[in-house]
Amino acid sequence: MEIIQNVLLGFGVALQPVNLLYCFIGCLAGTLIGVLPGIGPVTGVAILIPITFGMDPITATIMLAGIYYGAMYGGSTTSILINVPGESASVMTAVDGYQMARQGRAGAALGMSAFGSFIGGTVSVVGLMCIAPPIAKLALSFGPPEYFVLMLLGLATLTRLAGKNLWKGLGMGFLGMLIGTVGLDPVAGVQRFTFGRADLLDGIGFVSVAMGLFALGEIFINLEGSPSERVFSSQIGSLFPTKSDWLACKWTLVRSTIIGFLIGSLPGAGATVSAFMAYAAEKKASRTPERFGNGAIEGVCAAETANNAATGGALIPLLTLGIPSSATVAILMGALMMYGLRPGPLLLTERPDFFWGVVTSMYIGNVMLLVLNLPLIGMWIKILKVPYPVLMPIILLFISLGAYTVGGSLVDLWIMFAFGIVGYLMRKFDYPAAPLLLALVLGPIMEKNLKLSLKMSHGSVAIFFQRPITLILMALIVFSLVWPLLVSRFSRGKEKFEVPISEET
Amino acid sequence: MTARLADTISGLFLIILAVVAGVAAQYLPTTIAKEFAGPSFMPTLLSIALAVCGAGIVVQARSLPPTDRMPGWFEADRAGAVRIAVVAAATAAYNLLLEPLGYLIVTFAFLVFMLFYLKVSWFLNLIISLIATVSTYALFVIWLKVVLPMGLLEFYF
Repeated sequence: MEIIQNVLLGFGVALQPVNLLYCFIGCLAGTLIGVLPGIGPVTGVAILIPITFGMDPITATIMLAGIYYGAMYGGSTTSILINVPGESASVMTAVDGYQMARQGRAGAALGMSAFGSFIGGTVSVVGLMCIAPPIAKLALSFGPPEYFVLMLLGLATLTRLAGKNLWKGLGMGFLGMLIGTVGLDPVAGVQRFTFGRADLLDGIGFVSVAMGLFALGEIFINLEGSPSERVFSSQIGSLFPTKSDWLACKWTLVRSTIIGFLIGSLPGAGATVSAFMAYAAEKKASRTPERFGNGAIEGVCAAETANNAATGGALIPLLTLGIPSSATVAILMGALMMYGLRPGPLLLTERPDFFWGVVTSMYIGNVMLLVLNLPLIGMWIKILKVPYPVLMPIILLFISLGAYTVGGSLVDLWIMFAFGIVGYLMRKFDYPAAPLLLALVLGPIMEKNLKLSLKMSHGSVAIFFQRPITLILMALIVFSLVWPLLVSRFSRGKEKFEVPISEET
Repeated sequence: MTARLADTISGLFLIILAVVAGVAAQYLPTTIAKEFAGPSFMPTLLSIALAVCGAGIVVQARSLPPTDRMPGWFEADRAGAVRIAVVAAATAAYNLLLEPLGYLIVTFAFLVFMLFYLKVSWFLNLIISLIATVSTYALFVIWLKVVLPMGLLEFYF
């Protein structure tokens, strides 16, 4: 009964005209961001955060969440039509989607992608509604020691975001935490590494860092090659899958939704890994696996259903425990903190209107995206024809404007510029950027809770080993570090897939 | 650029960065009001961790084959390097001139230059620059009430 009351409360908030409007704007902007190659959800959310200043936090979060899952819808369009994934979670969609387009079945691929995304996204929102409250209730008994170990668990996921080289991933994580120490000490209030500048007292803003690392760095990478026009020439055909397509995909939808939701909720996984795992599972389950890679509609369905199912799952650790599961969710977390909200178990009890409003708006957003994406395919195709030399300066303008409006200071602009160069160099030297951003957001929180915990225990670290919840969390940390090693050990000799580590989702 | 050389250089850079940060951290107070982990605690700890990671990268680089090229490095694409340098310089100039000259002037000039440099036709260039400048001004200043520097046009806006 309580959950029904909460859902009704949520719809009461989400169905307010202003929230509906910004949900629509977020979905539209997110789809556009997903369609445009070179801008992923991380960049899109980071660029549009400054627009939300002055808005009500609920409205702002509804819009940013719309951008997040809207980008998943949009990324499939370019994957299918021109074999260029709009964002990393759509890489697997391109494998079979583009082949279907070459066979004259682009419409069926786009249609199944839209319906699969809707089903995966909707079920994951329902899952979020059911699972989040009990987790949040449990987390109410958290104190500073539990929060510290929880942040440590969040940072342990750096090993998942590290990519091929663990030293590089951990190094970027520690660098991110070091950058996070700039500003005032969280407990003593002493200035650290501010060089006497008042605009650095609040530290180095994660929005400027994110824009620099992901957006400006990506622009520099794209400039290495000649900017070229993209040409789309396939026929679309009917946007509705046939009856045999639906029959072929009926179990795909179920499997991929479950895989996407569960993996998306694991810190460090994200939509890209979800899409990949669902595709691999579908190929294994199929009686005709040789069709995969040559235009199997189940492949398109699996990837798109899973990557949208992952969005709901990914918000569970953020909204209930306050730990982001990916770079995009880290940006969302930073945005919530800028609005004066503290993501974590108290959010559900102190601001049930916020939690349930945002969650129910995700359901509404999924409906909007299904209704939008099918008729607007023509418009997205026109946008794909805009040459990159025209798009790039406008993207650069938005990045600069976004960085400046964060604090109204040139310092943020220069931080964005500096991290743009750092982001470019990181790409060249093969260093992952996601751990740096994640650690920048989590590091200060972790430090504050560590200091408070040591104050409680009069300097003894035994406090982290004397409480049942911290012990369980420590066991989870060990498990998350050991599990990948066990999996790789036991999968030797069997068919191995190289799991992509995404920086974007 | 080989992968071994790239990793060695970047690993050494991280070590140097860690040493500089660690030394700077020693100038911070160790404890404040009997606090158990003072302002210098985390920066010192993180500097050590960063240095260890840097050393790990350098050591691991030695196990890479000496002839393996760094993926993504162009052999000698001067044109690409020049493009990046020009765009970076234009962005830096934008930052420098934004407050003295003002948003409208600098943004219009920036877009005109960028579109010209990327070989967009003059007609399209001027149309896009004008529309983008005016529409972003309308979006941020008029609708969202964000304060942007007006510079030389301050008396008119």
